Amino acid sequence: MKLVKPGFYGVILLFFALSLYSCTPVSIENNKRILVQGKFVTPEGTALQGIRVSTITDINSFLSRGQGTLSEALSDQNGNISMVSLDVNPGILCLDITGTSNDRRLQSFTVCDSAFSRNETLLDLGEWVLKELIETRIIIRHNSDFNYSLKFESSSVEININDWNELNSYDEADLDSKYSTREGFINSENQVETLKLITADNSRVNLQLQNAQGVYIYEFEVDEIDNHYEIDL
Amino acid sequence: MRSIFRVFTLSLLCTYSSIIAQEQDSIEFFPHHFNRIQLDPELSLLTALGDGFLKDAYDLDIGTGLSADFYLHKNWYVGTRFLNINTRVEKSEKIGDIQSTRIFTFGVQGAYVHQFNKRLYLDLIAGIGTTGYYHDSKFGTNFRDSATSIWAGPKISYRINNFFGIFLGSEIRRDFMNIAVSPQLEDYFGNVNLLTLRAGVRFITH
Repeated sequence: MKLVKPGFYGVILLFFALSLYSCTPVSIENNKRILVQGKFVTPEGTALQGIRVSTITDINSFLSRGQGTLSEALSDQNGNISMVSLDVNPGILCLDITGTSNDRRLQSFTVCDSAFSRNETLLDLGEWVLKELIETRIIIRHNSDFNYSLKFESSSVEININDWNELNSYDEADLDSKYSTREGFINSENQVETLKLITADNSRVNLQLQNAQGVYIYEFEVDEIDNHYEIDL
Repeated sequence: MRSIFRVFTLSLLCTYSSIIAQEQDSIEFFPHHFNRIQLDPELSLLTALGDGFLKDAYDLDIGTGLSADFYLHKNWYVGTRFLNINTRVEKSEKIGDIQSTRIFTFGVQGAYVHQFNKRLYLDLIAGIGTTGYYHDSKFGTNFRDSATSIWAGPKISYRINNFFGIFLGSEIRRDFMNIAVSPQLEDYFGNVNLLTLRAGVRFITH
């Protein structure tokens, strides 16, 4: 019987180790740093302090998945941010911008390579305007099954209905030139449903509810903070 | 910090007591000559100078090093030097999300040796080498920055016997970093200046 030398297994193991290593798609570029700088203001031009900016990248390797942070800093009292970030190659560099203030809820953004102006070593955000978010609740009291159709002007509305995640699904076929539309069905199990609309822009919202008794159409202006409406079906 | 202080204190005491006892010295010392080899393991206390990233964002631990030198003449030697420095990151927003950095230098050096008496020597050393800054990023991927280093400084050594001695020294070092940065950061990342206090023991052959 022919014996396989132990060194053969070592070569095989080394080959697999190198293969795993080469499967890691993201690596940090040697001998390079990026300067990230910019300023955050309100639409009125007031400086925003405490805006957290992170440079992140997707880790999608054989052994781990997720997002890794390459740098992170907060804007100062003048709204300015200046930080040094690592760079990735290969990989996509993204910026995560979020407010940290408990007093006001601001827009947050995640933008990636193609969305911002970037040269080799400088990522200049310029002046970023962050708007305050408007939250509106529509409370629907009902005792029967119904279909709903929700149309809103702004394309940046986030919708939650209780904890039903399926409403967050977004069907491109429902879009027309101006309005975004979402539709769905709610059964009579819960007697009260709450639609929560969050947007940074004033928007007009059309809600159509249909049950066995008929069709009901409502229109709301989403332009006030913490506004809410109630509907009894 | 404590250990380097102890080494310095011990070295000073040894030097002082040996100098006092020198009058009654009965050891016959062989002078340095061609072909002699010496090994100098050392501990280094490092301070970053200037406004660069190393001073701003890091705390430096005690460095450990080893020099291996070959005498060409009783007053001249050439050799190699290794130095390892471990660091702790204090301000990651200044350098990116780095968890820790290890600085490793390897180079060649030469020295002129001045003999005060049969035990006490002064080495005037200059060297050049390559340095790697090996970083662990916070999400687990490693990367490195490279630099060209030059260094120079004196080293006072005291021979306890023909094969063993101790030394104290200082050194100024400059790392020319190869990091690509925007013009605003060129001064910050361009160079690293280090002042080093060194102490160690010396092993000498034949």
